[in-house]
Parts: sequence; structure tokens; C-alpha cells
Amino acid sequence: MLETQILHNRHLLFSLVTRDIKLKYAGSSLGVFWSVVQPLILLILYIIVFSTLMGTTRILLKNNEVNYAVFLCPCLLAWNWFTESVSSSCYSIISGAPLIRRVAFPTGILPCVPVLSGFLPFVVVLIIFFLYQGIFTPTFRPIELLLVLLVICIQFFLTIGLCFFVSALNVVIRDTAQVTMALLQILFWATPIVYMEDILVKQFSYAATWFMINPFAHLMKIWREAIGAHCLPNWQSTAILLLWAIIFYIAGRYLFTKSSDSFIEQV
Amino acid sequence: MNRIVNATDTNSNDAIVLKDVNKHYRTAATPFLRLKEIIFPNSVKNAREFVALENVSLTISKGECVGIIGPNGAGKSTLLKLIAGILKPSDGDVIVNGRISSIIELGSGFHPDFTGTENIILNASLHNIPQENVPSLLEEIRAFTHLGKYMDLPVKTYSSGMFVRLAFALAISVKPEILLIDEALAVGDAVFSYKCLRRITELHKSGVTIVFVSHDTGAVSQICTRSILIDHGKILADGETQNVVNLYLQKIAEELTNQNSSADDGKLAQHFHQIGASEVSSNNEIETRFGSFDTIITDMFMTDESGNNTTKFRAGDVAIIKMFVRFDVKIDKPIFGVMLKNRLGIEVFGTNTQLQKIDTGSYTPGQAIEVSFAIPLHIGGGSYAVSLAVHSVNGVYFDYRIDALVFEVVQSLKSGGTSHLPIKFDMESKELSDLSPVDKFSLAYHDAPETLYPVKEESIKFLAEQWYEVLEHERKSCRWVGKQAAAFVSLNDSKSIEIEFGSTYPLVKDKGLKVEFVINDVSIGDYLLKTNELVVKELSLPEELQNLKCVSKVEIRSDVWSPKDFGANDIRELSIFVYRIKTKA
Repeated sequence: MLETQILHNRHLLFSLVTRDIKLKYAGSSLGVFWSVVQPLILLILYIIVFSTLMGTTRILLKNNEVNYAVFLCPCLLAWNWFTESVSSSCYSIISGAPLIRRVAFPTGILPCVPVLSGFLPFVVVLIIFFLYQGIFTPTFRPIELLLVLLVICIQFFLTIGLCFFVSALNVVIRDTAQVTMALLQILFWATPIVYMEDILVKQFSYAATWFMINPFAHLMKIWREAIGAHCLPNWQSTAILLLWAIIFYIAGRYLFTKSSDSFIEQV
Repeated sequence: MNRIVNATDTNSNDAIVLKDVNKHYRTAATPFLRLKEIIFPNSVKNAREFVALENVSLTISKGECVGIIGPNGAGKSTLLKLIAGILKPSDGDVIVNGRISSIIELGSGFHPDFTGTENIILNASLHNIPQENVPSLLEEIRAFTHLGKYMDLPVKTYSSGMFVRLAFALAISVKPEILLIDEALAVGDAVFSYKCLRRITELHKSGVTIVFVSHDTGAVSQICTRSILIDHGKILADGETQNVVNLYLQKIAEELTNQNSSADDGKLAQHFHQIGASEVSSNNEIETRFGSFDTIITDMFMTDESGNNTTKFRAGDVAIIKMFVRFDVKIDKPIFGVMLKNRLGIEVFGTNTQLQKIDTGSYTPGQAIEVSFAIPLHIGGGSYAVSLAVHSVNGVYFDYRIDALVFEVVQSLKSGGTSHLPIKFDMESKELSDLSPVDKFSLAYHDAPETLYPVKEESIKFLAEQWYEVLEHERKSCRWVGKQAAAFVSLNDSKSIEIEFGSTYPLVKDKGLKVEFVINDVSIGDYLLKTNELVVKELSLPEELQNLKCVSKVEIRSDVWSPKDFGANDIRELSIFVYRIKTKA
């Protein structure tokens, strides 16, 4: 069982995760601090560019007028976590080759490493954002925190399913990594992250259908409404997202377990 | 059905069981077909199939040490990886009984960005070693590998030698019940290889099952009692190492012969097997014989120097090995060779007429000659096997008779070891009284400084090399090692001697340390030391010791103690340290 293998080797997983985080910023004087600074810079850039582009810093969200920063921040952070996990997991089996040649190495933990190591900066910046928001809007409710945890959970399974999928696929078809990067780029703009859903729906009729199918559109909606508008996610979005998460997880898990025996022969 | 069972069934006597194991690799042409093959096995029609192992069945009992030999690409490493569980068999069962550890490929199993220490921790968590045991494990590995500060550098910066040190230490640190070793050890330096082989032998003795893969038939013969020969994915032979190694060497030679004879216009090959079977029979049951038999060794025996047939020699005797060769084809400059192996199968000595640059002449069919090798047996006691061969300049073996003769060497009482080297002793006597005191001292100990006191750098160096361990405290004094510490002093015309000494023995204040002074085996007094401070003791010399013109041995006898009695790691035995010896007129 893939899950029991991962749970059983959680200590090993955590040591790989800490190493991964340390390595990314090894030698730089600011170190791990960069993992927080970079998304912050990105956020500020988007806020400046888009609020000038749209001529306003206030956006109407579920009858709630919110700051563009509040609108953008949770979505962009969540997207960053997702996209970085998926793109770096493409190589997790290939670069883990020396490890999987060891007697009884639990291969299943390798694709989980980027997901967990990307989670740390995500949470840190999210907390910074909460502090910022807490200062400006004193309407914070504990239910929001619960919602956030729920969304994180769903996103986690969605991401990890895809990570299993691409990491296994990239061993067999080495173009997977490149295709994944390109798809992630396209998906970024095809998902309402930096813009409102309505803007596109007004212009193209098929956009509504696309946003209905696109799990990330639902994910963003839930994030945004939970944090920006302080309201419970609508059950439709949650159901669709959950369905996708299950599909991704099962597909990824299937391919990974099917091909994990032959990894050693191919890397 | 394919199954890897890792049963920890302590009752079973088998450590490793392979039942009809097949391993083949199917490689589909394109990545997409490969993907299809993974999801639906055997669905791709035109996949290239490569058979790595075919119908391999073997049982290795607990505590066995088994060597796996065979040419490159024979499937040795695949077999090892299947046992290790890194690869899964395509068919058949692999059953492994006990904790397994392996050194398979250099660098495998290491995270290149982790430091040596971190890799050990990672390994410990992979093998479910409790956290509290990790520090002692680290200490053990540090001591074994001598990697020092490199332990805290990423392993990607390691040299291959350092890698193999760590890999070996790591593999044995998890206290395996089954240890799998692939050629990797060859990378280490000689000292470390030796250390590894010794450790492997120790592990074997303590009951660990060992599977050792190597090209090096010498190393296999040294540590494995049983060996398995693999070629083209099949087990060709399984049995006593010596027989299997011989078979392997025979196979190599045959292949070489076949390659060459096919290049030789097939002329020599025509004669192959024309000779009756009776003529190429073996001399004894251990002999292995092969060749094209275009020229055969019809007979061989051994004699001593005076020509008497014998197979018993004393170390140092000259043995004469005679072989009779009959030529059935025309041959220019045949090469006659001889090889001696000891009972472990280790090649002791070998040579041939080509190496010795001897012109052997040319021969026509029907001719016969007698070739004799006179070998002074400068070898240790034991039984030896002689292999004899006739081959052509281009490596075609006409007749190769492995272990055709067996003889015995009786160990000389004058020497020991695996060889009996001719040795000469040389002694020259010198009169001490003719020399000045300083000369006398430096004659007895040629690299001695002019004086030992006051203690100077060179005297410390001398003392440290001779009898003392230098204790680097502020007084720069020396510490005796051993129960009876001795120094050499020129007494000349002195009437008394002043010795300044002390002890680091912690209990000296309470118990006291009895010290006896002895010069040239004459006791001149004793003393009960009751302080850790330096003590100056003046002793008058008895009549018989005055007016001695030579160097005298001053001994200070006392009980010994060791820091380890007080809980330290130091296991040296210590007694008294002497700071200074002065002679007084």
C-alpha cells in the first residue's frame, strides 16, 4: 500500500523535506527567508500591475467590497504551492535514482517531498497575510480557519495525486516535465486567479462551461470566498473539486504503483 | 506469479531461496509503447526482450559465504539485486530470511546532497534503528572509516574510495543477517580492502550469510567456501569454490582459444578432437583439462634434485617438474608454462618460456620432447597443485592441464609463513670499551641524541620512539610505558645517581606506589612514592657499579596501572614517568 508505505516512513520523509528546503537556499545569505520573500514580491507586483490596469483597488466579492490584495493573495499563494509542487515532482524519481537503488527504499515518499517542502513557505506567507488582514479587517472568525484547513486538505490530495502521476510518467516519457510546465502556464491564465471570473464570462460564452469543469476555478473560488468574503464555500464547488481531487489521486496512485516496480530499470 | 517474500522465519535454515526465477527486460520501441507496456504488461507485440536470468533456482543456507562469479553481463548483479529486493523477478519466487544489507553500486543508496552523517541517519531510519542508537552508530562508523571532517560534507564531494568506505561501514553497521556485496570493494585502497575482507571474514564467522559478487577469483577463493558460476543468465556451476573457479578459468581460456583459432583460418581447429579420449584423460580426480589437443602433454611427474620421483619436499628444496609433450601439428615456438597454486587456490608462482624469453624452437608432427622446470621451493608448508600448459604465441591452448600434479611441502623448522625466502644473517662484534661514552650510547641506539637530559626536543623524539609515550604537559617530560621501564645511562666514574621521577597514578597519595631501582640487574634501593609531584631521589652506587666504562641499563620497576581502570578510554599501561637522570661523581 502506497499510503501505509508513506506513513511508515514519515521520519525519512521529513528528513528529506528539511534537506530539500535547506538545499534550495544553501549558500545564500538570506537562506530560507527567500522562500517567503519571493512570493511576497510576486504578490506586490501583481497587486500594483492589476490594480492600475483595472483602475481600482476595490473589488466586489459576494456583496462584500474587498481590497484587490485580499482578492489575489490566497489564490496566488495556493496556486504557487500547487504549481511548484507539481513541476518539481516531475523530476523526483529521476533525481532520486541513487536512493531508490537501495534495499527497500520507499519510493512513494519521493513525490511527496516537493509538496511538503512547498507547503512551509505557503503557510508562512498565508500567516503573514492573515496578520495583515487581521489588522485591517477585524472580522476574523474561527470558522474561517477551519475552512482554510479544509481547503488545504483538498488541495493537498489534488496536488499529491498529480505529483504521483507526473513523477511516474516522466520516468517513462521524459517529455512529461516540459509538457507539464507548459500546461501549468496555460492553466494559470485559464483560471480566475488574477482576474474575476465574470470578466471572461461576459465576453466568451464558453468560459462559464470551462470554469465549471476546471477544478482550479473552483479551488480559487473557495479560497477567495473563505478568506475574502468570510463565507462558507458553496457545496457545488466543493463537490466538483472533491471529485477532481479523487480522480487525480486515484489516477496518480494507479500509474505510480503500476510503474514503481520498473523505475529502477528505467532511471 | 512473482513474489518477494521477506519472512523473518528464524526456524528455517535457509537464508535465501530462489525458485525458478526468471528476469527479463522488455523494451518497447517508443515511450508511449513503454507506457502501454507498464499499464498492460505483455501487451506490446514487438518489444525487444532481453533475458537477464533464466530459470535460476538456488538455496543458500544461513551462515554460508557464497561467491558469485561470471563474465561481464552474465547476470551476477541482476541476481544480487533480485535477492536484495531492488528488482522484482519476472517469474518465480525470491524468499529472503533475515535482515538484509547490501553494497551494490557505488553511491547507490546515498543522497548526494546529504552529508556522510546525514546519510547514516537516513539509513538508520530506513532500517528502523531506534533514534537512541544513532549516536553510538555514528561513533562506530567514524572510527571504522577514518573519514574525519569529510563526514560533515555532502557525499557528492567524496572520492570513490571514500564512498566505498562509508558504504561498507554503513552496510555492516545495521547488523545484517545477510550481507550482499558487489565488486564495489575493489575501489578502496589496499589497506581498506584488507580491512573489509577481514571484517567480512569476521562477520561470516559470527554467522552472517554472505553473498559476494566479483570478477576477482582470488578474493572469492579467499573468503567463499561455495561459489556459483553464472553465464548468460544461467547457473553453470554451483559447488566448492576451487572447482567452480577452475571451471570459470577454463571457460575464459576456451573462449580465448576459440576466438583465436577461428581467426587462424580454421587450420588448427580441424585437428580438434581427433585424438582418442584415452590420451586426454586426466591425471587425477581434481584435474581439469582442456585445449585443442593438437599437441598434448602425454605425461608429467616430479622429481627431486637427484632425479628420484617424489611428491614430498622440504621448504627450500629444488623440485623438478617434467612434462612430455607430443606434437601432432607443425608448431613454431610453442610456449610451455607452469603454475603453482596453494590449497586455497591462490596462485603462488607461475611462469612460462615466453616470459622467461626462452627460444623453444619449432616442431613437426610426430616429434616429442621432454620439458623440465627446476623450481627452488622457497614456499611455506602445505600442499600445492601444479598446472601445466602448452600454448601458441597467439594464445591458442593446445593442452592446459589445471591442477594435474599435487605435491606437498614440509614446513621448514627455521621459518614460518607462506614463503620460505632465502635469508642471510650478518653480525659484527664491536668492543664497547674502545669508544667514548657518547659513542657508546649512540652505538647501542644509533639514532640517540648526545644526551637525554636535560630533556630537549630531540631527546623527547628519541624517547618517544624507543620506550616512551611523550606526555605533552608544560614540563615536557616523558611517561614510561610498560612495567619495567628502562633507560641507558653512561655511569662512567660516578659514585651516585640522581633520578627525578613521578607518577600520574591517581591513587598514589592513598595507596602509594612501590618503586624499585635496578641497574644492570643489581637492585640499588627502593622507594614508596606517595605524591603526584616530581620526586628527586639520590642513590649511591654500589662498588660493583662504579668504574663501569660502558652504557648501563637503569630500570625502575613498579606496579602498572591503566587509565582505563579509572573509566578513561586509554588502555595503555602506565607506571612511572622519569623526568631526569643525573650521574654524580
